[in-house]
Amino acid sequence: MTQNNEPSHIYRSRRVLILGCGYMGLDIALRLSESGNLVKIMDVDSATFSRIPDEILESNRIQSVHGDGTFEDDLRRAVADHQIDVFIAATGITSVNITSAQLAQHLIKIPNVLCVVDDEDVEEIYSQMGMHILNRRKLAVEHILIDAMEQNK
Amino acid sequence: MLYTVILGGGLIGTGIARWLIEAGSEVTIIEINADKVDIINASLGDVAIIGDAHKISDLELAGIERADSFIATSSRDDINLVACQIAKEKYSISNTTSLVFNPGNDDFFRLLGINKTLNVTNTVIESIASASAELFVEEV
Repeated sequence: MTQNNEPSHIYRSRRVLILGCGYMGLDIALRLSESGNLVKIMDVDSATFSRIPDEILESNRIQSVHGDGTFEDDLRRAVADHQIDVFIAATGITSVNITSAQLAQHLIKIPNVLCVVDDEDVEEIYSQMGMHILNRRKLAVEHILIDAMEQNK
Repeated sequence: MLYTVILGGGLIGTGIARWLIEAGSEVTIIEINADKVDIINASLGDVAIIGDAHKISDLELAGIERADSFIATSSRDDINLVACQIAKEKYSISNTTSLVFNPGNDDFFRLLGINKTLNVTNTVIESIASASAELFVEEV
């Protein structure tokens, strides 16, 4: 029995590992956690975990993992015995994201790997190599332009 | 004349450049720190430019399109990896060499197509172990 007001897809909750507990990584983590996914967040600087709201850490809705995402051993430890469905490299440093995303894709074989970059040159080259690249500067500009057009209406 | 582009004007990058110049090769160093570029150019002639190895415009200023080899000598594995991959994928440079500091990264870099890796950490440990182990370890 199908009802029209139901969403056309049913999403199973996913296990997501996010690299980078800065503003971008943590925002992504909070949003994915709110929508029912199991989220781990990894950062080389454990002080960044103090930004995660206490009630979210206490309820284990987001788990923090201290480690360097450009080190295979650290990434494997973060994945641990969990089956990670999605890896998102979202630190503020493009080359760190590219390196960890390739570790996740080629060595750890996480099925879905997303990589955030700042740089159009890097975006173009790695997109052509088959990586899923998001250029955060371009995305921000596009959103600002869309908003500006809306204001003009 | 063979042409080599080197990322990083530290002691290793500058040392390789000096050796290549003395051997009669052509070299350009890309270095992000302007002070280092001045020092290199004062001692080796105008061989260094200020630039970011992930920027196409800087790489092309260094003449990467006609380079035979690319050597990444920055002190960070992630920066070296991305620079070598750009040299290889965008400019089809068949001879890419990278310094590697994390001992686990050798195989990973080669899996991604970097031709040669030089593992600095392992090299230092091995040379201490083979040259002067008796100073630190009693014979078993």
